[in-house]
Amino acid sequence: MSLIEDFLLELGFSQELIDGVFAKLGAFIPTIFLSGGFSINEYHKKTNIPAYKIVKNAEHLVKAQIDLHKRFKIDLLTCLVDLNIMSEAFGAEIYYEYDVLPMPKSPAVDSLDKIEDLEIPDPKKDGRLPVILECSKIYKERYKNKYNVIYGGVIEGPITAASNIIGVENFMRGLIKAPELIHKLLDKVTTALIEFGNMQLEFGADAIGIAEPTASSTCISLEFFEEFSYPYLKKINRKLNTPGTLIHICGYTEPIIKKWVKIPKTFIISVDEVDVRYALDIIGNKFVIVAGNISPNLLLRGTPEEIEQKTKEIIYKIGNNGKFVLCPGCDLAPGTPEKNIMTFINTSKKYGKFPIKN
Amino acid sequence: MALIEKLNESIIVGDGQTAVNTAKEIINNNIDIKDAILNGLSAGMKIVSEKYEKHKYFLTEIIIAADALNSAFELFKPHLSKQGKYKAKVVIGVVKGDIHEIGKNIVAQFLKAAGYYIIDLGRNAPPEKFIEAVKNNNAEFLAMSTLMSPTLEQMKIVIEKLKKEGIRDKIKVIIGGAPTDEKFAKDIGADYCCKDANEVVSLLDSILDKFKS
Repeated sequence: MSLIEDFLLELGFSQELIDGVFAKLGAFIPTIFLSGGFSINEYHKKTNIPAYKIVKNAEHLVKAQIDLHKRFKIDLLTCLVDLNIMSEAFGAEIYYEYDVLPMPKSPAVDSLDKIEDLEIPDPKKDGRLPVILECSKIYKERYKNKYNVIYGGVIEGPITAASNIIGVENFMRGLIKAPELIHKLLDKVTTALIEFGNMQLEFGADAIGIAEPTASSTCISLEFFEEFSYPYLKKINRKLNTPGTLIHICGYTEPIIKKWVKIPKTFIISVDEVDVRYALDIIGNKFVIVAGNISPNLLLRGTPEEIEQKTKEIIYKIGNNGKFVLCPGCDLAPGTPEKNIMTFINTSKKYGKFPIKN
Repeated sequence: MALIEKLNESIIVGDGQTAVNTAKEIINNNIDIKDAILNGLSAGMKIVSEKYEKHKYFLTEIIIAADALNSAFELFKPHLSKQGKYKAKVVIGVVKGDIHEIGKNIVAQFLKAAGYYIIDLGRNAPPEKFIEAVKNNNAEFLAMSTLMSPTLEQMKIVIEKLKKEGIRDKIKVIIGGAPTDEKFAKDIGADYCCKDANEVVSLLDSILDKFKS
């Protein structure tokens, strides 16, 4: 068994998933999900508990994820379901909704010159950070040995968290007009994210995922990615007490992939609007797994036939390359029909058995 | 460089200070404001949008260009009513459950620059707010956007309410945002789906032209 297989086993991946990643004969292309919004909405429908209560309660958050594992055999679970966690802890205000995920209401500070005033939050006290820590603890104590799953702690990426702290438009203006202030903000945010990520690991998370959608080339250029995202992601990955992380950047990301996979300890990149074959070609011999990239919109609104066709296209594009897992390009949308999710999963079983013959 | 060309260039590079100074010069020199808006602001923003489509520009550049446009437009606004009427009234907003309004703001800026009167409902706007705004303003167009799939349903709810109020036929409904497409527009009974701000302006202009002819 290779060192990489050992490493994946150590992280908590099942042998079945590892065999799929290594394209072993008889194994299948694995399927994973990003399922935050979907899990909350499903749990709300099942229990009638308002979403605003679910997202503030670790017991509910973990149960919502375990439910998904039971229904769909989803192996990768996570309880950080919306990307307002760090900004809220820094002081941003949030709208809490009845049946879906919370949304930003107002940033922690409304102008760039107030960045100096921001204080680094305490993960054990501020906002919902303690709730997310509690999720890791509950998972470790009650479910880790009971279910064959991997529990990913999650942190927002530095740009994503920072832009919610001062507002996305102000953040974008700052990149051009006040880069030194933006670096000061990113320094503070990075410190907070590292501490929060390490605490999740300490409390019981098997691994860490980083959600950094605002660093996509839909929002910023490669040059800005190199200056404002890459160094901070590098620092985070180096300082997290884990052998590797998953980094999710949805939107268009082809221009940044080459740089993205150079971030140390990145072992899965979760991609959206990208040719997955192109991503694997860029990666070459390096061991980085690509996760992608069926559209969550297609899963929500498409027919099972359309989903099977699109999934099949992705499978054939990858062929017997390995280092690939099927995954929605972004978070599974609330209300996604069960039959569509099952079609996505079953298509991998139908066409994704190695050796794959097109 | 002619002033309108200078204004156009300032929008493309997102230079707010030059945009403001040039707008002042245009006003002081009694240059046609509509011409400045159309060939300076609107044309400049069109180039910005084209660069975005080609991945030469990003959200950062769009925001500073829109800031520059807005600064100049604010100076032109008091002079507009003296020179002529707005083309039509547009109610615009991000539907309930979604707070992503950058795209909507850019569309609103483009439309303003092209001579439309904008009633901007902001983000997370409930269906009732859209209906009220359409009725109170006798708007000709309703534009809704969302960046997220889960909130698509809200667009359908707004259209159902327009029907219930008996005003659906009096207004053209345009939808936009990443998860929308023409098929979805047809499914929910919207009239059009646009993929960017330029397309919205061209569409509205062409509808008005057709109406006039």
